[in-house]
Amino acid sequence: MGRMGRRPPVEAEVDEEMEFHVEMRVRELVARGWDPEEARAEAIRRFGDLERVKDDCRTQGRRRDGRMRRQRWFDELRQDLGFAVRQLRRAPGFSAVVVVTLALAIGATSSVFSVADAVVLRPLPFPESDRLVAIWTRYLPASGFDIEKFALSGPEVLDLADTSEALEDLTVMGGGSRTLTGGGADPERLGVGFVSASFGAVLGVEPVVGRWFGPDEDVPGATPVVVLAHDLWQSRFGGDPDLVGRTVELDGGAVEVVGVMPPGFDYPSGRQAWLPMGLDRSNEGGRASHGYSVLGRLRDGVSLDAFDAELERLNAGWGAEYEHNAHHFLWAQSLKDEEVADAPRTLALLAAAVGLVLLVACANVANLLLARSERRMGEVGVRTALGADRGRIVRQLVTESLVLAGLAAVLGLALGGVGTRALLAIHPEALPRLDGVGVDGRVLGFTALLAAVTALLFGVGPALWTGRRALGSVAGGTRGSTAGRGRSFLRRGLVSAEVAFSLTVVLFAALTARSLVGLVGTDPGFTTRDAATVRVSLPTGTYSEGAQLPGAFDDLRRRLATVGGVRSVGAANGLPFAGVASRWDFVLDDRPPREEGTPAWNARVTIVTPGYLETLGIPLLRGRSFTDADGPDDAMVGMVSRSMADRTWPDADPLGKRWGYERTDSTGATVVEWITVVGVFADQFANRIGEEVVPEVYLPHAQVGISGYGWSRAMSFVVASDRPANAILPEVRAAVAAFDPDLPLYSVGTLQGLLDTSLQQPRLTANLLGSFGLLALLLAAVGLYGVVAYAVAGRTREFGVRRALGAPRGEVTRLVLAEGSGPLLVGVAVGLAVAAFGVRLVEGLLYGVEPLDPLTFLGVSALLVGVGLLASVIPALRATAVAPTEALRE
Amino acid sequence: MARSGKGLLHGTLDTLILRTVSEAPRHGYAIARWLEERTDEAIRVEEGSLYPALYRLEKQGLLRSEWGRSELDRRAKFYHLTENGRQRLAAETRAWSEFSEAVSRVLRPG
Repeated sequence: MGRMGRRPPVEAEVDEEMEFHVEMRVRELVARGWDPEEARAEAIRRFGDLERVKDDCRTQGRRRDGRMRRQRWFDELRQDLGFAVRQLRRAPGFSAVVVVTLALAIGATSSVFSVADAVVLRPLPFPESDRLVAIWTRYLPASGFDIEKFALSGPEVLDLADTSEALEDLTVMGGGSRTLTGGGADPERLGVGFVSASFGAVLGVEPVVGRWFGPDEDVPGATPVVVLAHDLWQSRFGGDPDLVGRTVELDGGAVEVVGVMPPGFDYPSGRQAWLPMGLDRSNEGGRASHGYSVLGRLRDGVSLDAFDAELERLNAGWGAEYEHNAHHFLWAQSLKDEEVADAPRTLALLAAAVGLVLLVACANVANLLLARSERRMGEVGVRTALGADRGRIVRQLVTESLVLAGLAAVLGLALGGVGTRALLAIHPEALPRLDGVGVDGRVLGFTALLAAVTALLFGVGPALWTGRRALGSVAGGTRGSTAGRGRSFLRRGLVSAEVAFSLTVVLFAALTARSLVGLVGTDPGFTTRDAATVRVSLPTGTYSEGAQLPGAFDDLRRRLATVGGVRSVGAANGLPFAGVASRWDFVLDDRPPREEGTPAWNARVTIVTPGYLETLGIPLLRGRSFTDADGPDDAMVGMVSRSMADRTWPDADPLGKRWGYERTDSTGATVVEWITVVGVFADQFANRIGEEVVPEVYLPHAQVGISGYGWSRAMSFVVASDRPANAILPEVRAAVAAFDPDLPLYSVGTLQGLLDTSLQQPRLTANLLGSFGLLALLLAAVGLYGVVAYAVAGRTREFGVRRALGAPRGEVTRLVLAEGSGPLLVGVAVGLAVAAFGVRLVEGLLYGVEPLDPLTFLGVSALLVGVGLLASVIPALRATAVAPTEALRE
Repeated sequence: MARSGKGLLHGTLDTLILRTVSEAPRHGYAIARWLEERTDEAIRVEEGSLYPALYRLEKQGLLRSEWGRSELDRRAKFYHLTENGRQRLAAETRAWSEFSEAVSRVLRPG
């Protein structure tokens, strides 16, 4: 910019400047009478070390240049920003539309990211959590079941602990609950974990007060000890540091508190206390009794693959040694994979959908910018004439896009934050780890990056376009030129892309919505919905004898039956969808003993009271259900599910058949109490609607202690009433308190609530995809409308002529619709292809509808075409409404 | 006779340069000559200190340079003060007169 043109590079600059100085000095000295050669030597001498001086200058010069470049860059940025803000304020309508469009898309995207980050991306909150593995048993089909993932048996856990080289340590993890009493406070039901002495070491978490329990305390018959959660220690014991060493009362028995865990630690999910599991080393017969979840920590540097290989070797050895292990294999997965379950699949689908919405929004905004660039050709032309080069113009336009995207990001974060909180409040159990969702630094960073990428996506194309045109035309219109046609082609292409992407999102939404409708409409196996549920556990202290329990539960059942309006009351040790289910191997009295290598018979067992079937409305298919006459001294009876009956006695009448459970009596002999089938009930889903149905049996609670499995101490009561379930809950509480004021109530709710909880994830997915689909559809419609309206504006004259020459209104309408239908149909065709490829994302997330369901594809295509035509009709009507004379005068 | 820039008080050379170009843009040789003439050669600025100082001052944003025509119609690099340079010069001048006055008061006989 200097008077003499561009600055030379710093090397030449220094040389030339020093040479000039030397020449000037020589001239001076010669004038004073020096010999020219001596004068030159003197001039150079005065520099001292000339090369060093030059080096100094060059170093300083290079720094100077860098500084000036940065300075210029910032100056220009400030200019551009100021100019951008002025431009956007001059077109408030345009700016608002763009910012809102982008804010919706960016907000939705950053919300999905915030959920994905909390649920899937972030590591588990334990030191070196990538070394933690969950270990499972796989039931091979030869075992009679084909189960991928089941708990281990005690002997399997101990064998693994003894022999594994890959594991640093392992711990069992069982869940349960205990009632904490005493201290003058109300009894409190605690979620407790039954774990090993190694639990703290495996997770890498130490108690903050006291200690963890030792191996000598983790054996059957040891003095009972407990480690408390920080919250419980604070709320119940006021954070008393002297609590350690004292005893508390759990289920009526004294237990010594040995430690308190750090604040926030409640693993696995919601535990308030941890007790030793006390695995029994002498219980070799329990190899088939699977009941222990296992968590291991790999040695440093050992990979999951290496552990898998080791497990394969160990499995082979155990399979040769024990018949049971011929069909039951141990396997491992990373703990994180176990914790996040199938959440990554749901989130991948949501991320894909929201990404498409973002692309639709970008295409839409790009189109708006292209339309606006027409109006700005004059201004851009003037700036070009004033010396701004093309790069500068493009940079200015991109800066405007960045300002728009930045504003949208701020608004989007606010909208997304509010929306996410609202959605998660409705669906708190839809995905694991949702309590960690929030707007934090990572979400802010992602959103900022997203805004930048978005600005480039929608801004660079139109900016380059405008920049190129600015070179060709200094002010003045070029309507109808090649550039104009090219832009119209670009605009149609963008609209086609919008249609294609929205079709895909709408299709995802439609498929998940149909799947949800299918899930909601599927019979879970019981018909009652509006019934109150409450879980009651009778502590060993007060109810020490197992045989006392059925009488106590019957007493409570009769009390609950007196609550006003109650039709029936029943109870079971676990309700459907409440995650309690155990499966036992059984034998049949009309079959020979199972041969080695043949599958064991096995069914899920639920212990129920009389009235359970009737209260839940579980259809009785054959025979009878339990009555009060099925007492401990009467003949042992049981009910079987339809699939149990079909599998076990495929060709015979199941009524009157007998099954039983083997156990070892005090003399060491194997005994079986035979149970006679008295009824057949309809199949039930245990955990989730749509899952595979498992054979199931019901045993009367009054007899179950005799059949070999001990009495059930905890029962969930279901109370069906003529009044709404929520209305009778206070009276249900009162009835339990009247029965025994020391009993805490937990899992209080309704049957409908249990069903709803199991449907939260599909509901959340369908709701989100529905919103995304609607947004995409709306944006595509607006985009299509814009293109058609623009084309119509350019052809007003032509339409006028046509009408003046006698063309009927219908013909003009057809011409206008043709403008929109081209990009629309191309978009639908491309969209169907994209969707057919994209549906692999929904596979496995659908129930009752195929990913490539033709009806859904057809319906969604029709919807897109319909909405698209509607968007084109408005400009068409406007075009025909113009009087021919008026159009010609224009 | 103070022979060199090194003999000057620390930072004084910078101030002298700023003062030299404050009247009109000057090239490096002109700055050296102006200082020599102005001080009757009492201060002779060594080229080895002058030029690095010029580049440093430009890097600091106190000077700007442009290539132009010298009085003999040769290409030469002219330095002029920036706004920052002007403010710095004013501040340094004030500080210097306060300092020299204080020193003079001490040295004044009686």
